[in-house]
Amino acid sequence: MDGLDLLKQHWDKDQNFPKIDKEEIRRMLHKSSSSIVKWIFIISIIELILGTLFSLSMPIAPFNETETIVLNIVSVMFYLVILYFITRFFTLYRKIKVNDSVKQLMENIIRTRRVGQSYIKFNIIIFTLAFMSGGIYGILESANKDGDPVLPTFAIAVFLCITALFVALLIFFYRLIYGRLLRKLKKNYEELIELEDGIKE
Amino acid sequence: MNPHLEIEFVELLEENQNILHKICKLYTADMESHKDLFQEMVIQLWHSYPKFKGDSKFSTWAYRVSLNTAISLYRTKKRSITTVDWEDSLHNIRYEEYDPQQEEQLKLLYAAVRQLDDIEKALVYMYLEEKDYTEIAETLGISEGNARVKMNRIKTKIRNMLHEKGGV
Repeated sequence: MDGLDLLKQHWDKDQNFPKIDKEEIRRMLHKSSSSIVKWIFIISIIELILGTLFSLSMPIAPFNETETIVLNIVSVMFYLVILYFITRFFTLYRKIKVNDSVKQLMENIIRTRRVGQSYIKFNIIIFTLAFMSGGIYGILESANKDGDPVLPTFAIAVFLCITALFVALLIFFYRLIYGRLLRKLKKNYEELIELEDGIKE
Repeated sequence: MNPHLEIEFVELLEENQNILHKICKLYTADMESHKDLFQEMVIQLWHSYPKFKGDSKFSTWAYRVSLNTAISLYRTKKRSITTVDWEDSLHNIRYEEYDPQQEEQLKLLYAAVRQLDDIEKALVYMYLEEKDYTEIAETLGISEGNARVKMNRIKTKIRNMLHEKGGV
């Protein structure tokens, strides 16, 4: 008998395949969530690297010893928090990639969105505080050096406007990058909800 | 995407999943790759589903899309399995009457098929599914004559491979 004909004889009889149930098929359809979270994870790392390079390239202000210690402590704490977020994104990505049920997938999407939103808020708040304190400190320092007893109100007001502009730009940047990904996740989540409702009906 | 469409799709796919499994069986040599390819096919089918107008049966449409997915994946990812050991390529074949000699032959046959290229595997799949040459030609975008010639070559190739291994 021809080789392929022997195979043909057994082809239809062979039904020994893993049975993939509806739940698993649905999970496969929503696999895109894992790639969205993967992108959030990658972008957050790129952002960390760029942020670090940027801060290293900045000229170091002539701080005294106490100020330097405080600054270093703040920096270490900042990086620890950022690393915490990155680790969370990575674990969520792993969970979304390997989880077995739609329910778990939905829970992890919610978690990722929550962590993503906290990450954005944290970055915006820290940036605003750092920018404002650094700028105002600089203005006051230079006023002190000049021996001007009057508070440089105008300079501070101008600086606050500049800060507001930078913060607005930062919010825009986050909305553009993370906001887009988080919205996609939300859409995916809503589809899953609709689907759940559809099945219950 | 419309949730009702998704429910409908999932039901149809669940009923017809063996089509995908069978294609995976020819294109992959282990359970992990089988699952990966299965998943890729499901996603591809889902993306193409809105274009499925019901002109043909779901099963016909599904096997065509899945086969194309397997072919293109095999090409882009170069999922060559030529290095797979012949003994490793068994996918627990179950028979009504267990025949160790025949099982061994089938093992060799599957391994031989997996050594073929992407298009040849697609041809074998359609041959095993008893598709006529008009359909084979149409699915692969080749002429009917060409499909026949290719099929004869594949049969010879497999015969030679088995002969080398002392099989069928």
